[in-house]
Amino acid sequence: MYSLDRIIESIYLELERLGYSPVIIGTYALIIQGWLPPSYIYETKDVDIYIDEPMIIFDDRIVERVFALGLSMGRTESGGFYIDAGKPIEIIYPIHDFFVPKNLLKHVVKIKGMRVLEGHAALIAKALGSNIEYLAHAIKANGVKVDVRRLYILLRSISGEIDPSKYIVARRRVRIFVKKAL
Amino acid sequence: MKIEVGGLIAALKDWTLCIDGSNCDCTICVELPRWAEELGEREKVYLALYLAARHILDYRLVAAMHVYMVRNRVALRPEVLVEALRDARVRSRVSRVVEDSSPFAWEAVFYRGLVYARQVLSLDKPVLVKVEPPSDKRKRERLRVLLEGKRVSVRGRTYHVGGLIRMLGGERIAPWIYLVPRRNLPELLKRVGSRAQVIRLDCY
Repeated sequence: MYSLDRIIESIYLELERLGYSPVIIGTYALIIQGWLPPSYIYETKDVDIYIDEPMIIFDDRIVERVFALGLSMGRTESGGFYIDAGKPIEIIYPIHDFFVPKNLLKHVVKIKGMRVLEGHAALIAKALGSNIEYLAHAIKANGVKVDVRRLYILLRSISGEIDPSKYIVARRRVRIFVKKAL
Repeated sequence: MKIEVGGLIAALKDWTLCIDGSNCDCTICVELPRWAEELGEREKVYLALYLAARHILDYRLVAAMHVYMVRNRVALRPEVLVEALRDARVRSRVSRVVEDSSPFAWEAVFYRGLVYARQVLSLDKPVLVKVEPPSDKRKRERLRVLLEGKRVSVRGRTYHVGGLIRMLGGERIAPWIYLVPRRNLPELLKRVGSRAQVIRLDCY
């Protein structure tokens, strides 16, 4: 039985071999960058791998490759893939107008050969889909100082890419996070 | 171009959506931006469904959009959708379903629509059924012909006639074992009636 990290790496490599450019996003991106303690993995729902290609939902080669790795997989509500590796690994794609804007995807760091969304960008990406205030305490306790200015700069950089109502929601979530993180 | 939305989601029966139509009596009219003329027909329909769903914030329309996307294997880049939202115009004869005008409304409608669409799409999946044939040989043969049809030879050429399973979009896997789309399972049960027992072999 391989560790979760090894499984994520192998899935990442398989996706790259299929010609995609996967990016690790979500809480796991914050964990492997040291923004959150490694033990935080037990509190996360899943590990998210984002692929900026809406047609991936129809690519059956992914299913074949994952089965070849000896893993089982299923489909999420949105039609994406989830892989059972002890902790579910979800392959996320731009589902209609829910996506990670291109301006955020420019901010990636390489960790263990994988492209990982940089901490601030990962927080903004998370804020587009859900609340992030619950992360504030854990990040602060881990000794990471969030650059608030950078957060707002990143947020402003995506304002043209997303629909205004979504921008308002994300901004509200970031504000609440900042209040708690400071 | 007119689309019967009821064909995608039965709950929206009699709803019609027209694209770039003027003075029409459709439920929803979508005027796509000029740049959308370059898109293919399927992309246009998908885009129109998205714009309509955003306009009246109806989770059933979100479901229709997702079902259309999966069945027709069509998707657009999110940037295109966001751009269309700025440039397109939508008129509808039905009022907004959700009164909530907060920015969170779309998110709620969206996720609800996706879950609904998943339910609808699951009806397309096949289920494995076993038909328990009657012990009487003649009745059994008659049931087999009803289910699988009959081979008829005319002037040396063989034709396959009838066959309930094929008519319902299913196929024969083994003797008395068939794959039938879940949507058509009630029809199979109705047509077979008391002649035989139909057992589902999958456990969900």
